[in-house]
Amino acid sequence: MSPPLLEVRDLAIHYPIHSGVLMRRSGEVKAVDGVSFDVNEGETLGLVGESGCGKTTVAKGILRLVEITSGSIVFRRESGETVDLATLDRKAMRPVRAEIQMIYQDPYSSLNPRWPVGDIVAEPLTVHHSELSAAERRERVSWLLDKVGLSPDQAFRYPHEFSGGQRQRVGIARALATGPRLVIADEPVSALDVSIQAQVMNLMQDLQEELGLAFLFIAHNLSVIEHASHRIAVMYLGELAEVGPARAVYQNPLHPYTRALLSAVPLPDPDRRRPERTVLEGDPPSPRAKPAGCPFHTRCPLAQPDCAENEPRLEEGEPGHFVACPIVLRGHW
Amino acid sequence: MNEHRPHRTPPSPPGARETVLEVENLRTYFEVEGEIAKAVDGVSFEIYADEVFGLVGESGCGKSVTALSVMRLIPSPPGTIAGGQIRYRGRDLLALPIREMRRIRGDRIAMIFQEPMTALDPVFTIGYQVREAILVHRPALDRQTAEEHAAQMLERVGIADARRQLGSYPHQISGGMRQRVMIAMALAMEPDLLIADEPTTALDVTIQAQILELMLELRKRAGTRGAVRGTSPRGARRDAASSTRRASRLEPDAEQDAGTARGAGASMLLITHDLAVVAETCDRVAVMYGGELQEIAEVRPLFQRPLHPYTQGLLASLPRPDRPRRQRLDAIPGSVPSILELPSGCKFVTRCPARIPLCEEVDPQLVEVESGRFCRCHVTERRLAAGWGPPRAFPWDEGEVDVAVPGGEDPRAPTPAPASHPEAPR
Repeated sequence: MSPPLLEVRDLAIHYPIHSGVLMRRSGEVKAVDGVSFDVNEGETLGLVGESGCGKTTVAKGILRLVEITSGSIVFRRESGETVDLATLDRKAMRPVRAEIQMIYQDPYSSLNPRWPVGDIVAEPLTVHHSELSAAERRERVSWLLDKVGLSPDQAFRYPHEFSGGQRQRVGIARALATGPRLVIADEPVSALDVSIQAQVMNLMQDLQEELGLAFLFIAHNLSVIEHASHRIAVMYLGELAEVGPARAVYQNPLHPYTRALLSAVPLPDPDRRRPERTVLEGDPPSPRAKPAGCPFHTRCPLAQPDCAENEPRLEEGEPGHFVACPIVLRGHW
Repeated sequence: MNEHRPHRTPPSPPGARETVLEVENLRTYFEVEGEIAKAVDGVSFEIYADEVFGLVGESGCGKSVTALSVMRLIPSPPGTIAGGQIRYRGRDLLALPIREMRRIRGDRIAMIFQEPMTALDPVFTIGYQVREAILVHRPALDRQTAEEHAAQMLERVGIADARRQLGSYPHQISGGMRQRVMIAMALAMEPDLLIADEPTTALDVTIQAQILELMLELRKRAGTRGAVRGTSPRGARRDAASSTRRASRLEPDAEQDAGTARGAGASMLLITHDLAVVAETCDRVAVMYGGELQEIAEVRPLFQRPLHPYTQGLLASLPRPDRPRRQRLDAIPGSVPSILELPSGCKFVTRCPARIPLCEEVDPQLVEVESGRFCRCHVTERRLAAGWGPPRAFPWDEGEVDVAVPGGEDPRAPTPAPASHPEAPR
């Protein structure tokens, strides 16, 4: 098997908290705290978690849109050369950005309302492929619009003339403009209606198969993640609780948080109402006041006294399926 | 699949059931840039006592406007209720003077909104807001009794350390907590109809599970007139004293309410776009599209054998864990049309694989095609009348698509563009 396209190791992103009149640094938010995962070529890795768990911060960290506190992000470039994105300076980062692109959640605010969509899709080309002539660029834009199921003559229309689903297609076309190999999709379908959501998910899957894209697919909707992903990483309070093949994570969730999360998902089947679901008590703690030890121990049904002290590490529970819970690992294996 | 859990309310002939709310031919229109947008156009349904009635549809289909019409909260201008009747326990709400309506709103019919941050006033403590909601309807209560009741309501909805939290401001508590406060306010008067508009959409899935469970559980206990309904401060204080004995003040108080006791629980109108939430919580469901109800059914038959092509399409669009992973979803082609540009005839005609020429010409009616099952579709109606099964416009389960029409005189209209080649720009 070829080495992974992206190897994230012990990624930490801490934001300082400033308070008081002098805005002194009074603490920090550990938004991402020791996260490690791989994304393989042509694969979709689903990153799932509740709001505030740090999943979007991971995406921003990979693209160096926020400052990284520590850790490494090793990306294998098309040329075969590997680079650690965490240490690149702005200038060195720039060509790499053409190979890693992003799709945003909100198809309304992520497109400039004053630009025709053709220009929106062409912009990454002007930035990264300035050698292209105007005609070549136009041709590429037509090809991209066609790829995402829009008609090339719609290039002159403005975002407000499109529906939400179509705008998300424009966002996808823009992300594909530079021919990336890794696309980070941050909640790409959660702003869309059910019937449109299915169209966009189908489109992303078709494009992946045709262009060999790898996706880091970030979402809070477990049904969407399960459908879209080959492998899944479950995040809680800045740390990964579990990583594994999608099927294994869904059919045999190892971490107590994953189990609670899955049992909370309502199913569209009245015969499968779950009377005995595990309803987690309370809210997730704020990342400003992250519990010591295992971040989940304050809500965990399996918690033992030493969970508050020892920070769990991801360990392989079954082949390819990792869990950060010593209790499960001990009892299960 | 075979392990059937019994319905909370076993189906019974409609005639035998107590009706709480009847909406008849409701039409709510908005004037937008000189044009009339028919947001709700001829909607009729009933909600029975002790029932959770789901109203499901995509954005812009008119489901929230239906709820706001029932509450008479349609902003006017630009909106007007152009016609129809809304009867709450036999009284036409649309004909009531606004003073009378205010007495019902929040007291007998309460509403929970989607975004608890905007529904709560940021400059008042939650204790003040819950207390005021009580005092508006029980002006004779003294402030302390109202405060006491507010604290108990917060406890009832699972807010830890409720008494201290009375002094918190909305921004100091989490989204799930805010929604609990909204529920506490809505249930403070023990309404017998609770309207919940996307109550869990803004919440995380584990919090959603908590809130849904809470609403269903409180609903069972609400609806009977409880302690705070006593209007004299003396009566209320007596109740405050006895409330430690009873688990809660919302439980039936036989002595006081002998004459007014209702059924076992409040009815609920649950508005959502999420079919899974419907499947988990509702007894009966109406599916809305383009300002009209397309199908009404009990929840289990609706999911097992949807009759309307749109309902079938919605079910087919859902990614679900019990289906093969990464299989293509059967998306409904095209997009939801704007209410200013609804097609003539059937509102779903532009996206429907089962359409026949008639669908473009004649608006189908919502008819009872089977006992207790209403559907607005020419094709379904004809097929069922001929003794055929319902059409299968989208494969929501393992079966094959089948949209033939009895009589055979209709050549199928050309099918809409496939999902990968979506709609022309608006």
